[in-house]
Amino acid sequence: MSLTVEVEALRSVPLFNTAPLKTLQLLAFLSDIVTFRPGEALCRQGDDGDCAYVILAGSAEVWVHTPAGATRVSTLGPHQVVGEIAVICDVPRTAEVRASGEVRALRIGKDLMMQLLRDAPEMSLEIMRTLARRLQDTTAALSAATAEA
Amino acid sequence: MTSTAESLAPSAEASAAREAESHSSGAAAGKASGLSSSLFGYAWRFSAAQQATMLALTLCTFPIAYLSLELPKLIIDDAIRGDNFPRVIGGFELEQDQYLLALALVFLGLHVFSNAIKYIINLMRSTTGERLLRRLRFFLSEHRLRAGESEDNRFGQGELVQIIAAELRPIGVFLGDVFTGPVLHGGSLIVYLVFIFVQDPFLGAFAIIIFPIQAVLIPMLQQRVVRLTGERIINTRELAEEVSETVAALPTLRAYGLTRWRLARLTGRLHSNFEIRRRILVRKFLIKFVSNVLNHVTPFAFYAIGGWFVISGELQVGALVAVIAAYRDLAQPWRELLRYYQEHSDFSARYRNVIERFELHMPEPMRPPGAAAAHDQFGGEAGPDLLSRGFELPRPSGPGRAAERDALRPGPGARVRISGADDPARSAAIAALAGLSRDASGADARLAGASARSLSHAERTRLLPVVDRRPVFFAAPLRHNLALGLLRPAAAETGARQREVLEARATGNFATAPDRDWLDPSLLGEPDTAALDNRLLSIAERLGADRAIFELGLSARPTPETAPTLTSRLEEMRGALAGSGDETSEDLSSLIEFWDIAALNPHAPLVENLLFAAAQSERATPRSLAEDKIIRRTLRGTRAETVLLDIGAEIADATAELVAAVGPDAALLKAFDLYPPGEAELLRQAAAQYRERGRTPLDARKRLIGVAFGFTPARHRLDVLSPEREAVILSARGLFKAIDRTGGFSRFDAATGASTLSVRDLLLNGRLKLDRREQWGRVTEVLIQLCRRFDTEGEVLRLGLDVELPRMGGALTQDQKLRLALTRAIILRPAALMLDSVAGEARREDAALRDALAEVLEGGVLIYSSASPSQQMRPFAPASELELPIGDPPPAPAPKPGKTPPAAEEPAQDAPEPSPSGAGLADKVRRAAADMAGAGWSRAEALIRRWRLSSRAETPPSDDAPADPPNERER
Repeated sequence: MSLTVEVEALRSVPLFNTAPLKTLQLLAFLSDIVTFRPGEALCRQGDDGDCAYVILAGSAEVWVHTPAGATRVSTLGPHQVVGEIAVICDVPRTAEVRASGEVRALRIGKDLMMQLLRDAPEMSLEIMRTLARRLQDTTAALSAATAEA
Repeated sequence: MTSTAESLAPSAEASAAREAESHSSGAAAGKASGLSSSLFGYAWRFSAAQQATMLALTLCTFPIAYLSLELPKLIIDDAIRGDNFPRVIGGFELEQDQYLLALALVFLGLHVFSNAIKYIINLMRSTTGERLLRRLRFFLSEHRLRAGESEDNRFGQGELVQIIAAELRPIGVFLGDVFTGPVLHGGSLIVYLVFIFVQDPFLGAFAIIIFPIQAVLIPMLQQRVVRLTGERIINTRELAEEVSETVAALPTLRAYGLTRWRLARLTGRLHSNFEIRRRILVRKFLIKFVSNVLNHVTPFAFYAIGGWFVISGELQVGALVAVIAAYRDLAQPWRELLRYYQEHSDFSARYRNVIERFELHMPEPMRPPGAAAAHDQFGGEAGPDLLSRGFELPRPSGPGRAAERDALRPGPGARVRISGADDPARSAAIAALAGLSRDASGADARLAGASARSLSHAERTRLLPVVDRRPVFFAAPLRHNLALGLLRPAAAETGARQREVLEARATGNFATAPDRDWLDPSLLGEPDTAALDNRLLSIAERLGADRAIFELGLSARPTPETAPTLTSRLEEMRGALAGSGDETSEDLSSLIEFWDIAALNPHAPLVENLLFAAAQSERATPRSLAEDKIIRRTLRGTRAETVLLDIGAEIADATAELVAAVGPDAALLKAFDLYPPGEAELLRQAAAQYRERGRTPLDARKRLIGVAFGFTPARHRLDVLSPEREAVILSARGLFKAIDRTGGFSRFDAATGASTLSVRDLLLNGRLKLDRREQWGRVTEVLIQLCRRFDTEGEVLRLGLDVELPRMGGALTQDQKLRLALTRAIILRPAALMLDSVAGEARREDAALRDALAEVLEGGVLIYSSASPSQQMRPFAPASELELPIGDPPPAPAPKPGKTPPAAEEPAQDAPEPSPSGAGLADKVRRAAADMAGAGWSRAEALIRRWRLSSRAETPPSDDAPADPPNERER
């Protein structure tokens, strides 16, 4: 099967690495491979999140559009996951992700993602952990920032 | 058309009538619908005639049953062993053999006759049961559909499905039997007993003496077994717990040398487990022993005592044989009676349970036929026109504050914003305004003097529709989905004789005319569907929903009738699209894989690659094509067939494992489209049979080829298509050169207006690249421009309206669904459109949609809810917009007096250069945001904004930092 690359990528994503190998193979098989040319958007801020991506090759830039202008906040590379929270929490995309070169990614549809979470409670726990960690980081950054300023 | 204002006026009469109506159709259902509190009552009410007929027929069988017991006796004692022949019967003189034959024929006749009656009874009671069940199911479904909103949460979806689909089913079977059953079985029992008594009272007494013993002794023993089984379950659970505790504590047990102690405890548990099991077995087999012995005590008496009577000449041999036969037959009605008794108590309880669950015990007046739809009527004065007769919005209630009447009187064309940070509170306020909530505190809108709560469902939906973030779409044509308000029951004419209609009437179902179109454009005053389409499309265009409709239209298959211009100008359009090397066509080639007779198209399934044609029937599947006679005949014995079988077998092996890993029923496999996951095992077997190289059964071959046919290289990404195989498939295209002439297929290279490819296939002459799906919108854009140029956009849009949506709207995106739902609400010309967390925020897109809505509302009021703070909304909302804040007014970030309020849309160049410490803060925030990789950007964004604001306002940010500004909430 030519799913090895995809499965390897999925395995290195913390969200999925608790899932059994067969589930990951199935997930890779049922998801689509998508490609982006430089400058094309993986997702746009404000759009509804109907899928998450796992980047297989290439890199993408994360831009946040604020009233003060667009800010590049980070760069994502292979084996990083994009947009899973928007899918799970049903919120609009909170940033724009643009391909900075040719990007190849695994596109995991919303239905598939939700079904996977329903079938694998440990994955839900991982999501909770991720969210909690991010909240903690934000809180820490906020208090550090206010103390500093 | 009656004036809606009249019906909206708060006349006591009208509201009383409405009340009565809603009562008759709402929760208070019951007696008239026949749901009496007992099963007997229900069955009798709706099947009295059938039940009476069945009872009468049942009574007829008893004399026959008696005769059929009597006859064997007569045959043995009189015909075989008798004398005085010839006999004269009915004027005929019969010799012994003739007499025997005559009696045997009568015996046969009796059985034929009695079984014929049983056949009729069986049929009657089954159909009666089914009808009663159908009535009950329909009634409960209808009851559910018509109950008020307050009832919506009383049942889980699963519970209702379980009750209606599964739990009621056995009740249906029982209902047909409810009267006939006991009479039939009890009667038979009595007939057999009477017969035995008539032969000899002494034997009769023996026959019944066993019943009481059986009825007392066996249940007693049974009870002990039940109790012991309970003990055993507890014991097994304890055993399991002990074992798992042992496993969990293994290191400790070893460390303390407790293995023997633990094993001893285990031994104790195992012993009591064995002991309980042994006691169960003893009793179980004792029951069997006792009941077997008892069952043979009576025959013993019959043989011993009856035989003695025969010897002493008091009883004929035939009579004894007949008694033994009757006794053997006795067992069955006895069992049936016991079963009936059990079922009766079981189903009565279940029925009562349902009645209580649905609260169906209140009496209601008889519902006239067809009234089911009466209060759903649409029509009446247009919503915007009603506004001039008064429209009042109360100030919504909040914590510690009741709703205030007459707070706002928005005039025609007004916009009202329900603002507040609390999502559920805003939703609740919208529901209250629209008259949808249970809360009767007067928080509902008042239109032309009538409060929203007093409106019927239909009036409310038409005049004060609410659109939320989860609009519902049904499996129906898109046009119907957009004109839900115009789908009105086309009741069957009285006197219609179709079987379906008759059955529906007979069971209290809603008798509709099958195949009637429910869409009624005249409710909107439109003369026909075409006029309705125009209206729908012009609204959809303003709201940006036309793109979704166009995309659906692209997947439709045009015919010269449905799209005359498109089909006649196809060549021109394709020519224009292909262009000659201009920017557009170059761009398209990165998004479209064009059909090329000499190359494989990895974005299309193998079957289309092989045939270089598509099936005309929309129902054709790869599997059905594998069964197609022409395709099979053409493929037979070719190398292409071998290649396809190889591919099919390899796919089967590769995927069967994946399917087995999660189980074929896993919901995860919903997206699995190569074959029904349930067939994975069959397919694997087919692959194994094929590999054995014998003659593969035809069914297995079809299966494998079907799977290979559906394989789309770019989608399924299994390593099964080597360059050699690809070449074989390409060369096999020649075999199917004439496939389009056989009918049923359209070749890609000869696609004309007469072929039945989809609009997209026809125009693109290729397939959208699957890996470029995120950019497909660009192709749609090009096609829209193309269709505009050739004046065919309208036709494609109309084709889109015809498209049958899959369940839940299928592949429509959330945004498309919302815009379509808005179109659906607007088409009914509402007085006020209420948006519940839809298009409500301080964003350019939302503001644009609100402006578009205000325009198509044609004077209707736009009420929307927004979480964005007022000052952020300012640039996105007209100054005349009214605001209804929910809860406490949102805390403003306290700008210094005299300063202009810091606007959120402040241009970047106005921002001051960040101070060194400010830069550090911004970096930190950005770092935190980067860690969040996708989530909580708004939080980060809010942080940046706060920092900018606070550094401008020159207030120490630490002062208000702990407060949680409303825009910072997780949305």
